[in-house]
Formats: sequence, C-alpha cells, structure tokens
Amino acid sequence: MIQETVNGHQVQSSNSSQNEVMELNTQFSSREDMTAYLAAQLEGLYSTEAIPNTMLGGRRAALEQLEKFKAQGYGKRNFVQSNTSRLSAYLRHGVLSIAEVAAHVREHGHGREKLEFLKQLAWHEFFLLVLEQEGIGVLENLEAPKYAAKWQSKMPNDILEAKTGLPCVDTWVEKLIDTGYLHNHERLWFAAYVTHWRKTHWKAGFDFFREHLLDGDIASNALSWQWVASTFSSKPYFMNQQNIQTFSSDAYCSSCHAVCPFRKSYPELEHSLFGQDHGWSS
Amino acid sequence: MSALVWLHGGSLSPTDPALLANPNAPVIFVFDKPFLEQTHIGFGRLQFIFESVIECLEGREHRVCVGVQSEEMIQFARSRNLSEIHLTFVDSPELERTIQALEQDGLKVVLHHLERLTSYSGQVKRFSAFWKRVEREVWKP
Repeated sequence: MIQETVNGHQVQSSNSSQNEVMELNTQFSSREDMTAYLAAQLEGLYSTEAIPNTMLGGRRAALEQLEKFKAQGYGKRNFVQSNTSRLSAYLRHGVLSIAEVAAHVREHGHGREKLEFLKQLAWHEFFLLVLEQEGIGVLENLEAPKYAAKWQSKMPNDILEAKTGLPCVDTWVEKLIDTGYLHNHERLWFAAYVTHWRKTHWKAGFDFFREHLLDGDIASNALSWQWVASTFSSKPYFMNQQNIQTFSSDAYCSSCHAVCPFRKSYPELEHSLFGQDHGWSS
Repeated sequence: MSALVWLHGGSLSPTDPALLANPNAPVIFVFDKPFLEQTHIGFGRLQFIFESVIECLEGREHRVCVGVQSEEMIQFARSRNLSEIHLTFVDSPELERTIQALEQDGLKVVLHHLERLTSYSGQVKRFSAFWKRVEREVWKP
C-alpha cells in the first residue's frame, strides 16, 4: 500500500492483479476542491478538459430541478428556447426514477403540456424496452437504411473542432462540449447534418454524443441516431433552413453569411441527399 | 445476510432500490479503469457521477475507487466476509460482464429494479404503436 498526497488529499493506492487501484476521498470543503481532486485522480481516463459542469450532480440538485419543472410551456418544446425539463441526466444516471418524475408532472402539470411531457417520458421507456429486447444489437443497424446510404466511419475533424463554417452547426458542437447538453431539436438537426449531409455513420455520432452528453446512454443515444439515419424508422429525418430558423427563434440565420446547405425545399433536399424522390416530402 | 450494495452509473440515488433494501449494508462504487481507458468520456460526466455517488454514501461504510470493477468488488466483499452483491439492474453490456465475473467468483448477485412508467411487456418496434398501447396508463396509472 502506498500513501501519497494529491492536492492536499491523502490517497491510498495499491497494486491489483492487473491495474493500479486507487481509493478516492469523498469529503471536500468546496466543489472547486472536489473538481481539482477528481481531475488529478482520474487523469488519463477522460477525454476533455477538466472543466466543472454547470449542472450539479446528486439527488439534492435533481430534486431542486424537478421542483422547478411544472411542464409550463412544454407544448412549445420543439423551440430550442422553450422550457424543457433538464432532467435527462438525472434520469439517465438513476438519480431520479421515471416513475417519480411522471408522478410529479401528473400532479403539477396541466392539459396538453402535461400529456406532451408524459409522452416524452414514454419515449424514454420505449428506448429502454428496445434495448432490453435487442441487447447490444442496438449498436448495429437494426434495419437496413431506407436509401442507398454510403457512410464514412469517422467523424470529420472540422465537425469535431466546430470549424465547419456553418454558425448553427459550430454552435451546437461548442454547446455540446461546453455544457454536456443539447436541446432535443438541436440533437436531431446535428444528427441529420452528420449522417445525411456529411455522409458519416451514425455510430460516429453516437460515440461523439456519448463522450460529451451528461445524459449520454446506450438506448436513447443509439436509437435516436438510428431513427434519424432511417435504420430504426421508415424514413430518414432531415430538416431545411426554414425549420432551423423557426425553431431556433432565428438564432443563426438572419446574421449568417455561410453558403447554407439547408436552404432548399424539402423535395429538393430529398433528391440531393437521398438520390431520388422517395416521396418522403410530399 | 451479508450484503454489499454496488452503485453504478445507472443507479445513483440515495433512494436507489438496492440501497433501500439494504439499509445497513456497505456500499461500493468503482470507476472502471479498463472501460474508461478504451472509451472516450468527457470529464463532465465523471464529475456528475462522482457528485451523485457522494450523496449516496451518507452514514454507510463505503469504498469509492478507480480500478477493475469486478476485482475491486470481489476484494472488498471478501475482506468483509460479504457473500451477496445487491444492485439495481439496468441493461448495459459492461454491467452484465461484471455480474458474470462476480458470479463466477462464487458471489451471489441480487438484482433490484427501478419502478417503470408502464407495465407493457410485449415486443416493441415503432413508438407510435407502443404509445397507442400505453397512453391511457401513462396518463393515469
């Protein structure tokens, strides 16, 4: 057993049969102290800079977030600036259970907004049931793509580095890396851009989301990418510039000077992205 | 009964069913080094997990460490003469591999389950068909 001190904390380490083992302290005087300690102890085991989350982990923070959420405005959830629950990371890590979140919204929500949110919880359960049914198979195409897809396996570097030159796409990447969160509509837009415009396999997108999303799991993550890619749906998901402009509340488009790959009608996009008119836009 | 509660990335609440079923049992959480070495995971996720783990430990003997998950649990259980590992089950290939390793070592693994949203247990293919079957239950259980 070796005793050492890191950032003022005493650490015990010993050798197991294959790997060095390190016991972690669990009491800290501040969050900054904890962040620095964890960053040092896990050095080499994470892929990003050790910047503290804006979202707090733990049951207390989860309950505070749940208490604030009454599903008001949830009927407009497709707008990026709408009042979403921000509970997904807590659900993914079992800090909150789906049953208690549903009970809270049944009690405090109203009408259509309540139903919309409960339907989103049902999506979460649906994905878990698919994972239970298919097992590790969800990490491969569940169905053949519904068009002649030719996907490269590696995520292009300009996307990873937020240097595509498209303000909307680069903002999504930066937001994902900086906050560990993207609104669901942004996730779909990004997934469609990666899969259909950049012809990149959804599994590269799955890996990228798993790396950065605080709620990145197997079920929702893999199956949402497959839904966009058309390997778990009857047609691919794609959007046009007008859709992005509307649901982002014009966060990018009015001030954008890029050559926009999304500025076409749906039939034009369908033809250019998928090679023929499949009738998905009619 | 001599139980050890295994907390993992899908069961990080002080109200976790495996914890509630074993109010006096010690707790273990392991950052699985082999998994993290081969999978790109951002620091934010690990911090979120660590913060959540800490809140689950209150008043319990515990071990939080970095190492090989199955080896650490076996070592901790043996050192305290604990013969059962209790966990709340979630579908995950890594979790299932570890469970297999624990059972091969002679430990009894006891699974607990999170409460679900619906009681649906049939085949699933498209959400629209699933939603038709569960909508009433989801709205008013």
